Amino acid sequence: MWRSAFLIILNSTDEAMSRNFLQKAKPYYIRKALRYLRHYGVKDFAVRVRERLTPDEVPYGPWFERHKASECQLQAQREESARLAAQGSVKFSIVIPVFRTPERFLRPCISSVLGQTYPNLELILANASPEDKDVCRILSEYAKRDVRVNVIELEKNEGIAGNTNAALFQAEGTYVCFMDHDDMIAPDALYETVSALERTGCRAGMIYTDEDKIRDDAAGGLEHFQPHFKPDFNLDLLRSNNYICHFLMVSRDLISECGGIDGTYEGAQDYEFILRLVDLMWGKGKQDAILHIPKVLYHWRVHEASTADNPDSKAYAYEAGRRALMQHLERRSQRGSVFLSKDHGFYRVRYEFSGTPSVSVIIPNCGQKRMLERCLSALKAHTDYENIEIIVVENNSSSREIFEYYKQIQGRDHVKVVRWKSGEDGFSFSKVCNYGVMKSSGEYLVFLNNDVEVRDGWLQEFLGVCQREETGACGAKLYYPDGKIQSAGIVVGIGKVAGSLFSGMNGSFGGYLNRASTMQDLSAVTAAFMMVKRSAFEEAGGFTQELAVAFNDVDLCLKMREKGYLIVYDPFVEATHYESASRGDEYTKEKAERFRAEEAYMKKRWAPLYEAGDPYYNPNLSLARWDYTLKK
Amino acid sequence: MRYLDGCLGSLRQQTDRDFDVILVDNASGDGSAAYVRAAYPEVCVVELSSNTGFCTAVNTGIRMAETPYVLLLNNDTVSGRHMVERLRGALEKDDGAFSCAAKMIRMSDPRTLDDAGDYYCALGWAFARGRGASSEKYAGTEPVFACCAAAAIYRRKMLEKIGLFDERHFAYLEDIDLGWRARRAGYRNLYVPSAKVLHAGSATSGSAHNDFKVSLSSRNSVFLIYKNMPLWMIALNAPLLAAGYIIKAVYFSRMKLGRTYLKGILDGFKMCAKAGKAARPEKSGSDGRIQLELWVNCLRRLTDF
Repeated sequence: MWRSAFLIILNSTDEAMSRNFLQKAKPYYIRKALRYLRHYGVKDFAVRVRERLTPDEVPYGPWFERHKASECQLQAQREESARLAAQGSVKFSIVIPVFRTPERFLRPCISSVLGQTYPNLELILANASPEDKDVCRILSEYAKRDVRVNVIELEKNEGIAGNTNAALFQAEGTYVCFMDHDDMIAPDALYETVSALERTGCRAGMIYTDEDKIRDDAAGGLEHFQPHFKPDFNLDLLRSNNYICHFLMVSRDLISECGGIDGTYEGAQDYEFILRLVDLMWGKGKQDAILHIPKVLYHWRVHEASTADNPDSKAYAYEAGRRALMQHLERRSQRGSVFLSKDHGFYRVRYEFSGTPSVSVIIPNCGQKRMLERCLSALKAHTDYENIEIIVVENNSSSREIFEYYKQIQGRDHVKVVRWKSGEDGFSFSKVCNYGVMKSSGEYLVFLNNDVEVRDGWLQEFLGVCQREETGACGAKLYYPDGKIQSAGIVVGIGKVAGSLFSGMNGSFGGYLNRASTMQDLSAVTAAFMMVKRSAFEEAGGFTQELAVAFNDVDLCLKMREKGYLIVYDPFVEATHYESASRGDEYTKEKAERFRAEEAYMKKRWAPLYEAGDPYYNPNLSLARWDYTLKK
Repeated sequence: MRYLDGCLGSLRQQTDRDFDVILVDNASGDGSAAYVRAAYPEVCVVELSSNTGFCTAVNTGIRMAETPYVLLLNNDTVSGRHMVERLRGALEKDDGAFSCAAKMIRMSDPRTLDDAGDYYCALGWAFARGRGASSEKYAGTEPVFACCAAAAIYRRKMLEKIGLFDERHFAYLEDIDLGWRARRAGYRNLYVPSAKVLHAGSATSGSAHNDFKVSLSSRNSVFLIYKNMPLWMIALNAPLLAAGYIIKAVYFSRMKLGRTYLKGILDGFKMCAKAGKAARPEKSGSDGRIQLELWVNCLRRLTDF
């Protein structure tokens, strides 16, 4: 493992990368590496180093330079903003708690606010370091220069929460924007927000944008790196990680309702605040009022003392985050426990299920005895649950061998074989599955391909997630037999219609921001192995018959989403998918035509979604790949 | 001293800058006056030679001011930048208003209210409405019993008519007394929550309950009744007042301040005797209404509305 990590480093011909590596050979980075080594252990550390050293397909730095607003666009925004401001429009209160901020960070921070192309703002700086003469001098200088600046001199440091609250008392804008004292916002941050509000016509309670990190580069400029492209509001991702983070804007009215920031969650006060706001909106049925602006409008500065760079020393913060999550679950009357993940700042919520609801596993089968045998024996070995029925839906088999096998298994180990006969209109996976559902009685349905081998604990994990009121379906993390990832959920639009995330990635990698190992909501998961709530399945009308072979699972998930259910990707249910085996079918013209027809059906049925892009992905990302690579 | 930058700095950033600042240094002896003269040349600093109490100090300031409105502000405050504008605005809008109080929010935890208007109830207790509640509550402008002098604007003309702060109080309850006198003269006191002030509170006299505060407050509470309640009102309220004083006596004796409290009350009676008939109130048409409020305020005290 060690050797391979080093080999990658040594073999690297990528010039930028080796420069990067040399730059990182500073004592500071070595100390950091050692800290991580201690935290993860040799094996995990090596995996992470390997993953970190994989160069990006499209490097972010130049991408950012190409995509940021040009001077010309900024000028146009200024003129447009003057018109908007004249209409008495949205006002922003930017609140920044200041504490012993070095001048070289404080000035760019304040300037980035005052230089906004949208001018209707007030900047409230709560200074908790009255003893720092430099800070006081700089702040009063800005206050004198610009009437929009308001400095609150606090008598002492009350912590980030207390200091922010002191700034909040003054905020009278339509939206309050939270910012840290050494970060920067893009010059068009507020303009983009106003135009997004105008475009969507939505009275958003909460707004967040994408963000990246910045540090000083050798040339005296800023290096932009580690972009965080976020999905639209994603409850399960939020329960795994504070992905909303920066740039957070909250309506003043909503803050009035929920009160300010709670200082008892030190280090995770923003996470706690966001969870509380989300619950408040949810309680009022205003879930839609969370607006995501998919643009990098916030730059989080990384320097040697900031938490962005040294998360290891913040154990208390992760514990506070865990408490915040538990509180959140309690507010929602959701049973479950919260664990810290090995990856800093990530959590795992394990949902407890109650009672022993009936579960029906539906396995379509055509021929393939050996495959079915493997599937059933894995199911038997790794399922510890009584109230279960396993329905094998026989379709179109011809060999005597398989029917002999059906006789063997019929009625044993909860197995029931039912036979679907294709009518005149021919084979359809959708019809086979719907037939299986019809013959089943479970409150929860599990669709399982006969080429999937389940692993321990799958049923309990699935049930915990699916019993949640808001869940429609829950999908697993599937691996190829060689350990690579087959599917970590599905994104609509990838490869034209829909495609699996992280397909082909090293199974021990976490992927972009650990998404492959993080529970989250997605537009769809694969029916190769998923659990569906029967009531949601029925509400959605089951699998669409027109989709005989392809995309029926994506379509089902989208239909459930349409009914308001969440589709959850759960990486804690893992299984092996021998997918290539079942794809043995030879290519025929007839099949190609059917595929095109199904593709067309999807594009038509879900046209608005294809137009807008998958809300659980991000429009800045390429749809030609499935690993969060940037769009060029 | 340590609060001065917060206080004066926030005044420099007011949206309404049409005011002078008079800082009355009550013989603080920590170099405050010199510091302010150097760092805030726009402030007029008055130094008193000895600590003659809050009342004398503010009266000195009020007498020096020549403006139609006088705004009193404690030094342990940070003002919201619209504070002056909105307090002045509220007073200008209502000719019958004597004073307007700002919404006071705790500096140590700005999610929490410190004062949303002062009240006095038939139990003989003065209290700050909303203390400890969420600072987002009490968002409407409305009449209150009296304004807390830590952050309130007063109409000078009316002040002159009913008299300034009663210097015999030294400190405590002088603002209730002043507000009550204004009410008896037929004026209104308003609470204006859009004017906000962060208040450190109890910063200038130490902890929440101390000998000094208990003895002065209890003394002044007796004197307050003597000065503002006509005989019929005292008679009517006697049972509740007695109950109120007993409850407080028990409360303070548990905190080992019972002796101080009782002595304070005794001092109060002495004070009344010394002040004599001259301090007794004249008849007022507002007394009936005020009496009703005192009862309502008992409920207010117990239920926080």
